[in-house]
Amino acid sequence: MIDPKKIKSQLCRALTAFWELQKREATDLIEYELHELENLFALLVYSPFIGLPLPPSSVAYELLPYMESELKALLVRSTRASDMLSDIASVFDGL
Amino acid sequence: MNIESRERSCPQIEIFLGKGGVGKTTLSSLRALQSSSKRQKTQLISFDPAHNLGDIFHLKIGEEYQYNTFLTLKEFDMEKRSRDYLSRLTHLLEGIYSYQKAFHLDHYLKLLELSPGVAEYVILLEFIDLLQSDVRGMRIVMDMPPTALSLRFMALPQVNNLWCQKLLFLREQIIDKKEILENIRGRRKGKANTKEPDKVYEKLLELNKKMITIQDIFQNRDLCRIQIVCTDERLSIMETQKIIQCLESLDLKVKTLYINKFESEEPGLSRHVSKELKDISKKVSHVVLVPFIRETDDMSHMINHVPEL
Repeated sequence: MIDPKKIKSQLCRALTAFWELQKREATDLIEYELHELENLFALLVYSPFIGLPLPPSSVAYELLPYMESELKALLVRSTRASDMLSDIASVFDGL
Repeated sequence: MNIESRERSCPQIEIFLGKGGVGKTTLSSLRALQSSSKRQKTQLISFDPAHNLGDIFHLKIGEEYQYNTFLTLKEFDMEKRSRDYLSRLTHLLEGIYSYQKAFHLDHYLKLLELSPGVAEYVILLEFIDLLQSDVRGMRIVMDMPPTALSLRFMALPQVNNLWCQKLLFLREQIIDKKEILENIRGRRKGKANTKEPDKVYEKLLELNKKMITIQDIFQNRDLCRIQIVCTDERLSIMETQKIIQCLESLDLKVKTLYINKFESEEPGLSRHVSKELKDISKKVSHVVLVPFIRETDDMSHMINHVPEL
């Protein structure tokens, strides 16, 4: 005989897992968006990196000591620049 | 840094612009001497790398010299200021990016000094330092460098502001996204959200506030008087027209136009003065005609031969 309590608990577990999965997918997308924004920020401040004109060097100089994580993101992004397909695939992977 | 509160007790600033060789240093010196002779505490500072002020008053570059009770003279040492600024920045970087030492960035300071934008920024830093010092009730007379550099200096607060505002907007989006992620992750781990201040945002905000203050000072015609020196010569007139045009685009108005080395005996802008110069005169609040004076070593002798500047 099927125990209704057991069914309820299994259903609860399945729903929780589904909810967690949805949450993770949502955060993955936000995280991707965040990396893109950080990358864009670093690119704007240090635009000669990709051959664009520099903003006032005073702004770039003053921010440089605090931009470590953005610069790392910029370097990671640039190493993957030639492999856009896998980058896009990694985004859609979670969907 | 609190130059915002300085605005209320801001000194009176007089900025002398103009083409090279028209007599900016001479007229700014005479203006400072006239001002101090009325017992008005005055500081004359020259940002001109041609070192004319040093030659007139026999000053050593970078040193402050007390000319009399009411007048202080200083010739700005741009090279030293650039070096100090970049060296401070390099030390700050050393503390944060430990691997930076591997690149020996400090060996490239001389090269960094020549980077575009450094010259006008160190002039701006010196100007900010000046406002932060005890200059309440003082008159600061600034003899400016060649036109291109002077205009870049005058434009820098506005350009920086524009960039700061755009970058602040983008940074706010980054902070929002980080907060969302931290909130979700914190809840997942059952931890409370401990927000750390975003240093990039704080630095941008600080820079933005400074620049807004300087921009306000530049645009306040009671606090800051922009004066142009020119002569009745074609190239000088053309450069003056460009300076006025450029300042207008920054919403800065010229207070006084000094027509230097004026030789006519007739009072006012005589028929001998070119039409272009008469047109320029209509765009400024005051015109002062300064007669041609044979330069002597004694500035206090020259002061008797010029009108009230």
